Amino acid sequence: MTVEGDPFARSGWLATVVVAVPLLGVADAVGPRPFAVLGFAANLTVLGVAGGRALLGRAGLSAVERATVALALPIAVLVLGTIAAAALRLHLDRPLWAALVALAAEAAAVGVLSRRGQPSEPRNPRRWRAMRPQGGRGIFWATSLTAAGAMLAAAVALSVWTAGRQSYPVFSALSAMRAGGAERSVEIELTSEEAAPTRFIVAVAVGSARPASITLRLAPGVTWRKTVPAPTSASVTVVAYRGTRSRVPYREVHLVPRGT
Amino acid sequence: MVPIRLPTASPSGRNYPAAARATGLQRRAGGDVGGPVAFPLIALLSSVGTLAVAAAYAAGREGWPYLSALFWPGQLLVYVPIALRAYSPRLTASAEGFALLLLLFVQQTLLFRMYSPLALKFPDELQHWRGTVNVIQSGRLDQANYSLPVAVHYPGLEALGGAVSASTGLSLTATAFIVAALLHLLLVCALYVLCLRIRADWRVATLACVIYAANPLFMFFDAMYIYQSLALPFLLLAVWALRLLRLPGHAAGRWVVLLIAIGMVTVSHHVTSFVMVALLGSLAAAGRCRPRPGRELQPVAAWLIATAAVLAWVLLAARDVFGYLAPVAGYLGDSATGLLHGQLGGTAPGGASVAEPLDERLAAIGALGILAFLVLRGSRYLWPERHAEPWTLPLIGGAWLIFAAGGLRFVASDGAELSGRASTFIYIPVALIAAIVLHDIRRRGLDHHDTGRRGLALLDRATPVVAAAVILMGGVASGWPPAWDRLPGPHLAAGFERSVDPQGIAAAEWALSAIGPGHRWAGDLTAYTLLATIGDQNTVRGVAVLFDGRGADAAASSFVKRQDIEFLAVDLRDSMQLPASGAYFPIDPNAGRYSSPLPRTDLTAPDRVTGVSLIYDSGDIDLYDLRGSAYDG
Repeated sequence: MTVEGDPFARSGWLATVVVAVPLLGVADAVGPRPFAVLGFAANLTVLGVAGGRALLGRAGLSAVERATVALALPIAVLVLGTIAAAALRLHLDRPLWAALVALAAEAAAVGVLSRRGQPSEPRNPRRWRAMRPQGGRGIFWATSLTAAGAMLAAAVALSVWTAGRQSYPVFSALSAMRAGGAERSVEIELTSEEAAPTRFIVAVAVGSARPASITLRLAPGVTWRKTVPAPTSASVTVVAYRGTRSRVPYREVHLVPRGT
Repeated sequence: MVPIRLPTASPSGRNYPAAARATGLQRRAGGDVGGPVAFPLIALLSSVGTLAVAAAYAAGREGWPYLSALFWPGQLLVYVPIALRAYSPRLTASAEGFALLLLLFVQQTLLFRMYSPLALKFPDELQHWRGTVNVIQSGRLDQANYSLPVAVHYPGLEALGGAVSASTGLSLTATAFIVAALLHLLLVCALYVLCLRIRADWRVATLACVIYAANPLFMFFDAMYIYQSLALPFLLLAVWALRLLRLPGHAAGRWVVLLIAIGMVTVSHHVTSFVMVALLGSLAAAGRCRPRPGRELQPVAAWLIATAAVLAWVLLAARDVFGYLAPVAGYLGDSATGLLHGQLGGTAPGGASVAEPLDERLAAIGALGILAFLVLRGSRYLWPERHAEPWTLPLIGGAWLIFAAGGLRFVASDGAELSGRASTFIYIPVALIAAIVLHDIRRRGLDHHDTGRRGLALLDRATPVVAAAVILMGGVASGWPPAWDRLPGPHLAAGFERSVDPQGIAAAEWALSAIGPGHRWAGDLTAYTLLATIGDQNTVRGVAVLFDGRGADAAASSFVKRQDIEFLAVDLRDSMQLPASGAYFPIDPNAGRYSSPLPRTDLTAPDRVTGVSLIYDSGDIDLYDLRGSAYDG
């Protein structure tokens, strides 16, 4: 690769990176989500590429080795930096990680800048011999790879589709828990995961009192909640019937008296 | 023959940099005139294989008959063409070799994720999902993870997942998918560059990676969002960086990379960190046994640093690790004792009773046999000529562990799992030696090709196909998921990921929201997983005594009080199905011996115990409050 083809050999490019990294860090820390993701990814890339270059140079490393370091280094900085921050009792959040990545990326870029032009840096490392179609086989390549991509897309789509519609037995969950510091009330929940909107009758009996019935209709995925006053010394029984005429309990929970 | 020792000069490579000389990248294409036309065809073939496996998965979910039979053809279609191309003498471009590895990575990653493409279901992944949730919610690394307490002391993965999720806004499931895929890619790259540095031949490196990809746990377990997935690539990078230290220049930078890799392994995974100490120790010892001036002290220094780091971490931050690993050591001890009494594998107490299909057992044995043959032949090939090279002995010694792993499979009561776990590490030298010897066989085959004997030529062509198919089938068959779990499908009792269904998830979510985190729970294997991960509850393992139908008898009461159990989860489906994994409970004294499901009356026994409240009922799952009951009294 010639000097012109190696971005790390150009001062202007490097200076741009050194200036851009903190700005990307700010975007990562406080910017709206798309800019934050962009800043995070860009600084990780700078950290990986420049960090590998600063630590190992180019001499003696193949393209795959440089790519491996570029992938490993950001991961290591995130992990070791986070553990160090946690040891310092810092709160782990988005601004901290943005600052960590930006600082490391800046250090890597400055490191490369400071080493630029040293005699040990090779100027013409040979590229990997690219794997390109030759002799008019471009159409064959394009067709085959497009078909392969279509196969993979179909495979993913089939998996996502069948996983999304995989049928599990429908159910509804009834629960009751004593609530509050003195546990003077009971929180009742009924969650419907039935296949269609369903009508329920919920009968709540506190102690020996006559059960109070509530009729409700729940769509799939909806939870009904109700808090019922109930002394801790009284037992509570909650029964849910499915449909309006059923006399067979569909779900039933009960709480025993406490502190008697 | 290409030497193990990195060449210092190349007659034809005078104008090329050291990297190109060292890795053989300067070689020109030999016989593949017209470029690598096979690659797009292989990509297409392997993609058809992935589609076939996707169809088999869909058949498992939808209950379509016949289509599930596409699983094995699909797996073979993904792997065998890539393996054959990697073995082929027509593979003449290093770029194509690496592209094959990337292709295999993409296909196998899809094969894994398509099993459950919308949610994390594997219990090991759910454990680290919980740890990552804790990091994001608390902003700290020391929050208790009841599902995997030791993971708090090895927080590397949670730190990474938390950083990526918080910085990108991605859901934790998406984050886990992406992070795990990146780590798996890093594993492939790290293995490739390590093999390249050891053998200095990209063909061998390519072949080694392809062989390694058939190891039992590579496609699923090693690709999961778990802490070993983070530590393993850095283990390889540590050895790679150590190898780099032999080159002139940039010594300080290489030491920094080595120290970073050692640090990453140390804080990420216990077993991998112990393997790192053993591996660096063996390299240091081998270097000292064959003293050479100067740089051969570097492995000793690296080993000392790694040992100090791991010891310091274990003693200062992760003392629990001994308690966590003690049961595994106990299993091995029990197995050794059982062996002395004539008990082998599944006949030992607690041994798995779930039989593998005969064809899969044969494939597993066949794969082990082929690799063992290649290791033996590779050892005979390497030792006479390369025994002076310090890394030869550790390489051969590591590869020979395949015999120990094979023996473990049949000897230990939990042998299949332990052997599989060990294969992640053992297959690294095995794959490299197998690749070296296969490369030599291929080269000799080219040198002595006899076109006049058609039968031999046909055999010569068929053998690699059959061998690749057997190695892949054996790896998949002896890895994870097991045969009964290989396709996604309806709920199975005690079936790990096959037990994760909306009803169980809803119960766990309700426990967290209604009761709060950290309460002591008893339940079956599925409840143990879901309540501890999604529910963030402190679950108990040896709970079979609460499910024997005797209610609050002395044993049950004593257990509840001793373990401070507050709540009990009962899944009535345990009375309808035998346990798919052979055990209903995390520690089950009757594991592998069930001939009928648990009696329903045993499961509903808490209903008849004084003072027990039934606080949740979803039809199949009942949750009980034992506080203040006869259990607790």
